[in-house]
Amino acid sequence: MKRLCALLLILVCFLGISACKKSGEDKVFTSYVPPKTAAVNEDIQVDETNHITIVDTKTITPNPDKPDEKILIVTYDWKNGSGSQKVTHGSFLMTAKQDGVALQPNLKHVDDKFKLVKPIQGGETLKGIQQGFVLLSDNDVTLSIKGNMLVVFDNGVPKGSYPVEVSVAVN
Amino acid sequence: MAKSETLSGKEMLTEKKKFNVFDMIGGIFKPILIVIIGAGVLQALRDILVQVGAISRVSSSYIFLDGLGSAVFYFLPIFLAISSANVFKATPFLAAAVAAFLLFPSITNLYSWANSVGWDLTLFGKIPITYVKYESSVLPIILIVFFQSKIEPLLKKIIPDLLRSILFPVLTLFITCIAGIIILGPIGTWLGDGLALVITWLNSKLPWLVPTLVGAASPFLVITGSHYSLFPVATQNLAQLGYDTVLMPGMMASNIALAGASFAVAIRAKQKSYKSYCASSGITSFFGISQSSLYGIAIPLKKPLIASVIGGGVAGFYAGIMNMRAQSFITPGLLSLVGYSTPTSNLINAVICIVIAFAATFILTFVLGFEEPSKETVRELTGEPISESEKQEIIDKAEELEATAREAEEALGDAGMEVTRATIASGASRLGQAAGLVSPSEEENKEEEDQVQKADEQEGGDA
Repeated sequence: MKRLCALLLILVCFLGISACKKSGEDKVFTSYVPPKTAAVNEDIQVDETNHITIVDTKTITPNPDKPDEKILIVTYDWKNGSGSQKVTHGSFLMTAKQDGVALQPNLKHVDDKFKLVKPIQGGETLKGIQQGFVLLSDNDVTLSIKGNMLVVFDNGVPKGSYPVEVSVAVN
Repeated sequence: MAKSETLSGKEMLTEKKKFNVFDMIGGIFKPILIVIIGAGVLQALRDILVQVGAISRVSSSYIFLDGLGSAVFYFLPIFLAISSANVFKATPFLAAAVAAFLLFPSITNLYSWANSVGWDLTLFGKIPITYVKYESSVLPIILIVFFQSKIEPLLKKIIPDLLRSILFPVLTLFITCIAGIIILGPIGTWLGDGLALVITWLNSKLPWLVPTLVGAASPFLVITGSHYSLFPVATQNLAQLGYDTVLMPGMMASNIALAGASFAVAIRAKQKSYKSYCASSGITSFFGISQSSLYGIAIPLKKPLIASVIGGGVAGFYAGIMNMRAQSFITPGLLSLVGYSTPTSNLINAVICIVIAFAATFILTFVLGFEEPSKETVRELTGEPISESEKQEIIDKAEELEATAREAEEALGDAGMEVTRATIASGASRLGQAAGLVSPSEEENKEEEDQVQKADEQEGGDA
């Protein structure tokens, strides 16, 4: 009985593998492949549906007594290109690094932090979202914007997804 | 019945006193070590394939292979929830549901997003929620299931029987999950954050001491999950200085020390399957995946843990005084030697550190000795089925017990018959007296009364 079951299993596996055989044309999987880098004021498509445009960056010193404590405020627009209502959370994630070190986020000095959790209808754009990051030095900051794709098919080859990087100068 | 088979109340109290944290951790980890060791070997294989250039980190093969090894560690809280529930006598699948809630993608993404943008998460707009990385965590779920085990009896007492099937799981899940994310879950993070502050301060004052402490205390950091709090410190060091002295050298020393303890136990152990388990754990510890050595050998046997702490500490001390520098973030084990390759003296120091950690712990484990775990424990660890001879032994014992039970039953039956006979005789005699057909003598009366009394006593004793 066990042998019969084993034989049947082998037969099923063989048929399954045979079904994967090429029949005429090769099946090529495709997906949107985001750029590796982008620039300020550029329409950056970070995944299949989300577009980000960084419109402004500024550096502030919230405490005049501590001139070394600087915060980078990044202002951007987000277009929800999906067909449904979304918030920034779950759609994309913007983080920042300076000299390879992740910067601490800070929302104390942005104009309206609730834009980060404001629901947007599909096809609409939310303007003037702001995020803040505590700077470590005066060197350039690399912003990383990651969409919600887990895998990208680059020329049919599946690869782990990656963030789009934008370099901004600290002014 | 033999005294050893049953415990009196006093003995139970004494037994309770003997219960300690190591037994508890051992009890929680024992059932899941089989998956940890499997996943650990797969992770080591993945690292080797990457190091030799057989697969790339961005390839789909890597994603699959990584998933095979890492999924167990990612979902570790679910495994821990079930085993903790068995230890704390909570409902296992409700505990698993709580762990699944903590690892639910929407929850983990929300935590990660809030932590990345600096958003203060709250519950119902009022109660603050601390960011916790629940993936691969250990301490939070153990604390949460312990809490669950305490509220379950209370809920069972409060909820009416009629509504228990609906309200019990609902309230258990709700209360446990909420208490978990608000108080119990963050405890590990708070401990870890405090530890990171202390280590950073120590590193600025006594840099040689940090690898010593990490080398010695790594097993405890891993148990509580506090080692994750040192990852940002190490990453920052690598990014800013180009090397790390805080986490990687000490962790490497500790993992190799656990490998040394595992191999020493493998050599001295008597049971074949345990020898094999220890050798496999030693190999994975060499590659930096030390959970199976820690939870299956060091913690349950205790003395190998002491040896690992000393061996790891000594090797960590060497790493500290020689200012060993890890130049890349590779799982701390043999493969991480690549990260110590420049200058050559750094590599030589790293090799010496490995030798010290391994040799010191190996020798200490031999010297200190250990008490080998029981066959049942080993079987639980290795997932090995029972042998035919052991099966026969169990069957024989069961048959013996069955025969004893049958004899007792027969004895009880005889006693019952005697009681019935005496009762009928007494009843008939009374009936005869009442009808005036019989006038019993005093002797007869006394005899009957004695018989009934004796039978009643016997019945009471059997019962």
